[in-house]
Amino acid sequence: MNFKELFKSKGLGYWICTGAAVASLIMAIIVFATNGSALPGVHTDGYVIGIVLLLPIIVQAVVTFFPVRFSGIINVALYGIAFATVLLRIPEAVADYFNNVHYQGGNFGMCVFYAVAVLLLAAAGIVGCFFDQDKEEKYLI
Amino acid sequence: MKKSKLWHGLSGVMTFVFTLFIAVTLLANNFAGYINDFFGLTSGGLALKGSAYADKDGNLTDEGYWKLIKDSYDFCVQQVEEGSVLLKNDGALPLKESERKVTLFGNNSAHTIWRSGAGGPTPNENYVIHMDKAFTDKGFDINTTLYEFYAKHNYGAGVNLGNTSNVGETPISEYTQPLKDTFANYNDAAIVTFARFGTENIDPPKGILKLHENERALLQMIKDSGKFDKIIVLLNGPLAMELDWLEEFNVNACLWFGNPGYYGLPGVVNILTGDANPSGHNTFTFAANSMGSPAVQNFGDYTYQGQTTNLGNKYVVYKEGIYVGYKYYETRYEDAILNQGKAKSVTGAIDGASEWKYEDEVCFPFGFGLSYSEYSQKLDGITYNAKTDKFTANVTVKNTNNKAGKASVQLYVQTPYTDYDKENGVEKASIQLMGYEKVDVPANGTEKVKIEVDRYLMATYDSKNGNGGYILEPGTYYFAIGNGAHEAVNHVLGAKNATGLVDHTGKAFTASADCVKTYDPKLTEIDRTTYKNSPYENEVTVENQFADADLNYWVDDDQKITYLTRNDWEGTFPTEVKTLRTNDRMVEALDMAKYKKAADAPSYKAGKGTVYEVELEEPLYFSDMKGVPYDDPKWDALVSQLSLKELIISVQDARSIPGVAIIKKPAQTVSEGPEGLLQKFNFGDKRAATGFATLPTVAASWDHKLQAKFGDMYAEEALFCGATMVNAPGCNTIRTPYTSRASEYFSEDATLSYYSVSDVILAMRTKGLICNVKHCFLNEQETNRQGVSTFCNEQAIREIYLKPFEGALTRGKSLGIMTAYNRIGLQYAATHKTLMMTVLRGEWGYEGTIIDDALTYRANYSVGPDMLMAGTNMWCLDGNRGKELKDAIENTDDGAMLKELQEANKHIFFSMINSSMGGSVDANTVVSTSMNWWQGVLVAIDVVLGVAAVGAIVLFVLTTYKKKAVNAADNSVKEENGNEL
Repeated sequence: MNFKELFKSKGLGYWICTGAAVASLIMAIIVFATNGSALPGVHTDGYVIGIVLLLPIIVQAVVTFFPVRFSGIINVALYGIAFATVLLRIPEAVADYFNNVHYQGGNFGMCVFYAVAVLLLAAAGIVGCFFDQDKEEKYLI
Repeated sequence: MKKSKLWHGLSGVMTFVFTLFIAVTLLANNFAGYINDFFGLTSGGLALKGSAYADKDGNLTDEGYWKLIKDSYDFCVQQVEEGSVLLKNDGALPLKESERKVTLFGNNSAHTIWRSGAGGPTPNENYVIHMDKAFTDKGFDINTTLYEFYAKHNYGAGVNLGNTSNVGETPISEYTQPLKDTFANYNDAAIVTFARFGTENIDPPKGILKLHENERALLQMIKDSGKFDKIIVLLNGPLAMELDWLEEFNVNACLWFGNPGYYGLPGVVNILTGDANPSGHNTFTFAANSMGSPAVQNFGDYTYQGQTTNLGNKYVVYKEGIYVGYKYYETRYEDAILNQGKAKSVTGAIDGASEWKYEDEVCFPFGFGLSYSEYSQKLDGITYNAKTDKFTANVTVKNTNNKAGKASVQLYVQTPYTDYDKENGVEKASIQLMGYEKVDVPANGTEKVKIEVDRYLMATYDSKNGNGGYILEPGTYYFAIGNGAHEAVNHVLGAKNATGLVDHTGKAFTASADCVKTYDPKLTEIDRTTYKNSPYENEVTVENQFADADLNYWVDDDQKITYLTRNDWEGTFPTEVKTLRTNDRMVEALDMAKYKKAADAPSYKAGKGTVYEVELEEPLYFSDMKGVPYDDPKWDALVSQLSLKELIISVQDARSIPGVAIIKKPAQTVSEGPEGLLQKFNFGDKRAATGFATLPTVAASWDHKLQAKFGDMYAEEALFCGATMVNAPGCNTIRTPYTSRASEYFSEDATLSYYSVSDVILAMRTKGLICNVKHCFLNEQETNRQGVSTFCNEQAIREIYLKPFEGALTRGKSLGIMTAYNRIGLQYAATHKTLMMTVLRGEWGYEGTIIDDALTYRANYSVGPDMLMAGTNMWCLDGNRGKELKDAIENTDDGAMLKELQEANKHIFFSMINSSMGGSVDANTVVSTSMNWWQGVLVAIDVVLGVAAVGAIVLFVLTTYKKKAVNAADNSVKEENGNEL
């Protein structure tokens, strides 16, 4: 397989999505390492966020060889789910922070970091949707 | 941009927005109780009955609401009038009619500390009465230039924002000459307000109760200016400042007014003008050195050495035993006067002292308070009724001046400190409160007062003999009255012919035989049988249950401690337990995730040994349970109808508890707030519920009727807010002057707390409010409160720390109790089976709900199955526990846990049916499962966004694949023609 040719034909949308997917992979690793102390004690399943964040890199790996037109939407949907998953797990820490108490455990700063980071990933994914995945528009479907 | 690319991009946007709103909808439903609060919606919409403000049909109306609001706001003022304590008055107060031009000094004159920062009532800004308004409404001409300066430059911002370490007084350099020039025109009095702030989750730093340098400089400036006829100091907040400087700055009068609530400040002004006659008395000791008490020697942050577990690395040791607050100061005083127990030793004395002297240590004693009236009190007699096991004290109160007032009559007792006690480490305070009454006494009038008290309250807990228990010892018991504990002990000492007595200022004190009576139980040996069994459950023996709360039970020999004993003040005055090493037993005991399904546990899945989801021939409903005693089998039948999914509904409090349709149990609103509800009214202008004065002020009235009225007003407001359960009030002990949540507790004294909390709760219960009285127990500091191992001996636990909760559940008939965040010894309070099952339910016969404090799942600490199996019934502010319990039961097929969940539901429904909710339901009650309007709006938005997302994707598909099809067709034409068209 001629990788040079393969990547030469990739469009800006592909590269944006791939960049976001790599960042998502790094974020997933961070989440796996820190969710136990970052999220409020009630949420013992913070690893789920990491699992969702692992998926975009898999999607990008697949579409590198089997390009599909709507891969950007798949990634955005994954970031959307990841962001929703974060959103559902941090309100207790936010409430504790603003009430100046520590009822629920977790780390407010890390929770904000999770939310902002995943939001940026989603934003990158959305931007990627507005650009071609493949310059020559050679899509499997 | 090509259309297909545009729709691809828009599909991405819409997909994300749709996902986001689904999350928002889920989130909103998880916190529905808070959103309902915000919109003023009542969960379930049940029309509550039982209000004295209801119409003739028992319905709540706007008309009733307006009457209630007026009464509530009037009561706020009355609370402050009767709960503020006049500590010093050299005749400066009341102010004369001509003295109305005053300057209000101190940053906190313009930034009153209304309450703590804990969850509770919010201010209705339009009605909040700040100090300037309180004074001007009363005809004062205040120095507005200075007041506005304070209002603008809030150096105490930290105080208002919940910072306990900021005194917040204005630096003296900020007082410019033009500002100082204004003093001359408002010089009838300098009224100086100083504040200290306490709240939850953080304690004030040690030393902050001293006069701050900015405060000192301010007083010096006022004194040096020579412009003011009078200097009056007002103390704001529940923490006892060190007040050894009043003489130094020529302060003429000093009034403690605590946290007045948002609408109570006129009460302070009424006292200053004499329109109200002060009648409050201290609920804690004002020490000259806040760091001098035995308790404060071990208070704060201590970390174990060695291996620990999650939330298990902190500890605190109550080495002072029973000598908390005045029980230390007054006992050591007696021993110093009688020259025993090495009480005069310099150990524990104020810095620079050559020996321990009471007058150096205490500024204002427990129970002390001045009035504009002058009272003389005579203890006419004390009688014991063996049938009721009660004492009746008859007291004559004379008002010897021409100002009518309310007199507080305080009855104390001294029990004999015997050789047995000395040999066996049983401690006796030289004086302890037994009871109190307040009486209106007309000018130059005389009133007779009767105080009835249980003899049980003076029994001593002896943990050393056999399995322990309450005892009465042979000897002379002295009953005494007085303006505070110090006067009472002085009268007792007088009866013992002691000499050298002094009052709290150091002046010679003349004891009066009229103020003391003796009682002899005529025992030849220690009576261990009278109180062997519980006074509430006669079949239950009261014996040691908290041996494992004593540090000595756990630690290696080289780390064992000695508790303070009055037999040797010098040798046992507490030293700080700075280092503590864990051993294997302790590490094992620190782990709270121990529950394992028993081998012979019944099966949930197979239904072997378990009964649930039963279809009764005649279904039982919630309303059928009215008046049904807890031990009636009907309760088992009621909960047997519920599935596992239905059984977890009611154990979760998330500011509301959903309805249980199958038994027609309506949804309900759960609120919080120690001195008022964190809730909005459902009637009238739907303003926030009233923020009354906080609990030390409630206790400081020393008036059962006023304390009950507070409970009644609170519960009335709960009815108009639609709340049937509240996580309040608190009744922990103000163990040190640094107890940050003091505003949520009543007193340093167990008996005053016992009566105050039970007065309040009984009134609340009468109106049908479930009060989850908190935080049971040993939660006397905020530092490390979640998980701190708290060590204390059983005598102090029984006589001090558990006693207020005992009052709340027995005398107060509370329907709820909340456990604490901390560990009792090493055991998390919410997993302490002995506390919940043996003491609360066994000894005290308690049948209501036990809720945990708001702590969500924490590995190895706050673990659902362990908590449930130990006796916890409900989880505070935790909407996820039900799932944790359901999963545990299903995954391990644990029928024993299912049964405990059914027991929890029985306790919860029992509390509910005996609350205003039970009084408001009948067979026709419809349990609504319909959505609130905002939930409908969110679902509609979700649908619209979902359709938009799908639409964008469809348009993307259409534009892309249609174009692709056209291109393909074009290409095929090209191929057919061999060239381009």
